[in-house]
Amino acid sequence: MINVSVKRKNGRINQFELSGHAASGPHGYDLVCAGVSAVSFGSVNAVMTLCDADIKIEQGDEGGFLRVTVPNGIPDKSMENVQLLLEGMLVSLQTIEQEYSEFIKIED
Amino acid sequence: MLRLDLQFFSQKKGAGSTKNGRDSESKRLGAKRADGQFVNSGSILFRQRGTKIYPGMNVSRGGDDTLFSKIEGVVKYERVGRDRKKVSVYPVAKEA
Repeated sequence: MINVSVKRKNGRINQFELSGHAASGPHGYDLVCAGVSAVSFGSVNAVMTLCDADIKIEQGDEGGFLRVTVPNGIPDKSMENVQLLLEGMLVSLQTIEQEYSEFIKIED
Repeated sequence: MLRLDLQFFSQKKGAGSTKNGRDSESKRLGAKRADGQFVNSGSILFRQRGTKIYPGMNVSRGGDDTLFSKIEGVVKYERVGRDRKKVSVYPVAKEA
């Protein structure tokens, strides 16, 4: 089961963390894991590339752990874009959760 | 940029892999001639391990429990007691 926890400050996403293993199939064929990895990694790269935001990324080297923290000092205009991208990521993860709730759980 | 690993949230191969996944070559056991079928002497009737089917009239058991016919004739599977079976071969009456 992949656990997704989202922390907010004044309604804005301040930090999110993904941890655990989907185990929806053997290694190499774990579809839920592939979906969640693509969505989360893609969104983090989008934030870094499109918003020029210096976000803090912590990854477990054995896999199965990703924590991203949005620092406070980001200019308002960039922060709006960062929030939009992260909210979009959340919607994508919720879309996966709707169909595969036994493999992923989101706390927001 | 993060490098994408599509199996980043997947159980790694080493952890908890199963110990199964092996099987022996299938030995194609079972009936080789059907009830009522005409066979020659020496024909194999039934391949088995142990005596699932017992040898009946004109039938012998080989070293690997295979049942084979000792004469030319027609195969007959018959019941022995409540839950056992045997196979026999009966000669075909020659037309006069």
